[in-house]
Amino acid sequence: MREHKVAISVQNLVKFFDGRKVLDGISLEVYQGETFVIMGGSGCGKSTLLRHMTGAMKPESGKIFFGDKDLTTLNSDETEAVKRRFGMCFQSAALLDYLNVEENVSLPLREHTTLDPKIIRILVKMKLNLVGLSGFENLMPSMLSGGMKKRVGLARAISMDPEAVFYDEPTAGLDPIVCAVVDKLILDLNKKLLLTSVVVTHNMESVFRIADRVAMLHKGRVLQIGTPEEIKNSQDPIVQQFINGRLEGPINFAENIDDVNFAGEG
Amino acid sequence: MIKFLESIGTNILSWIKITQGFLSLVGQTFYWIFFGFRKKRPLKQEPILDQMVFMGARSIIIVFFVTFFTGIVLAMQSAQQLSKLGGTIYVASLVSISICRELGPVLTALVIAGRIGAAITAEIGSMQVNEQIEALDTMAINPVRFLVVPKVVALFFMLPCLTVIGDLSGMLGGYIIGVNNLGINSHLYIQTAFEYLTLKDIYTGLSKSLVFALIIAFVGCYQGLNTRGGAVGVGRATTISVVTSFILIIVADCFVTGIYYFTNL
Repeated sequence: MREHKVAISVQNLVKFFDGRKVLDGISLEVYQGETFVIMGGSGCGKSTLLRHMTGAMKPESGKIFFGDKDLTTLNSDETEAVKRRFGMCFQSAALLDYLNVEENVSLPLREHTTLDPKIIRILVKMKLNLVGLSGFENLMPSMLSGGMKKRVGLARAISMDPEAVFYDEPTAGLDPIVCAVVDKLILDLNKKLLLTSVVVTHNMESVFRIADRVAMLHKGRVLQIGTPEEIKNSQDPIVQQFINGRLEGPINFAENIDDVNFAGEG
Repeated sequence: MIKFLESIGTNILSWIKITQGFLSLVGQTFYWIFFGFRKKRPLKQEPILDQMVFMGARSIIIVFFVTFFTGIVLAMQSAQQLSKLGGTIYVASLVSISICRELGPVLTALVIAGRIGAAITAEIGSMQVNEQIEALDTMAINPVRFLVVPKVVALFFMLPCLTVIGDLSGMLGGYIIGVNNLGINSHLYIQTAFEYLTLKDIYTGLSKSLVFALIIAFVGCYQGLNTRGGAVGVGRATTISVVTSFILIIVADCFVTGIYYFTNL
């Protein structure tokens, strides 16, 4: 494992929301070509961490390296250049609802390249084929089911042939079978396109299906990083409570009520 | 007492923050309009034309109705007063001047603030709460360039056009009353209507509508981009957007009129 090249490196990340420390010195490394899962309870800061990794938020202190570029110190043009090197798959898919499937998937290509429209059409067909949605080009997002929207979102995320893809809760709100489909898709794409994937989720089944390595976050800190096996056999009571979904344990309910509040703000 | 001062302080701070955010949006928008080509991002025609159709062409009917009936009301009200002085014929010039200088631009702007300002905020606001703005940002597509610029440019060109339509339909309303009810000869009415109408009256009105267009578009976009909190948030932002536009339009109207009044431009 150790000889892997580091694709994304987060160093000592600290972030405050209204005086509350949401990220409390997070450090982790994502290797090239692996599927790295970030898991943790609601409000543990995992979505916030992801937003920092995509450059959507700026931390109070700490560094985020994407390759050799530090996202926290770049100016807007340089940030834009880095952003083109990765794709992001949103929890709600975040398709633009006045554009049809084809226009949504081709949007980054139309905005960032000078390719001929015919070539863009072919590229879009390829990407849609990869996510199993050939022939859906002319539908509007409102006509699609949740799982299909996610797959279109994924096709859009890979439309610029990125080096890495970030997934925010890719299986949230989907039925178990569609969850499995999306998980398989993530694995397939990784293999076919040699992607580095960072997945934020709290769906345990999906964690153990797709992860090469897992980071467990709790209260803005990294509790443990390891392979799924290591996490499964973890001695940490919090990790054990979380992966087994037990009511009793170190994480008590009152604490979670607090966390829910500030998850809403994040 | 300290609590009172504290609340004043936080209020002022939040106002400063809003003004800052608003001005930064305005600055960014003008940057992309005039210097976008430097970053190889010149203005794109297609989204601007789309917006023009939506904002301009589809608003003609509602603008026509509002100003047409205002013209009718204005003619009826002024006829009553002017007939006492024996100057019914001056209804024509009174209607045309007050419509062109004041009522045409302001009413059109208020109608468009209600129709287009609300639509802009609701559209961008729901994109904001559905992560679509963030998605644009992660795709390295600047939301201001992509969403705000076409709307501002389109409305800047369409509101004066709509104002001209509003002016004409207002005068048409006055004409119908003048000719049918007041018994003024059609030819005489038209002649009187344009006799006292100077070029200045028209460009005063049109210059106002340019200012109003910027107000509606920027307030709408700013409120949309700063929407928080789901569907309720979108509703709230839309309300604030329309109310703010209304107030700013009236205030700006007063200022622009003042400029013309005091400086003899």
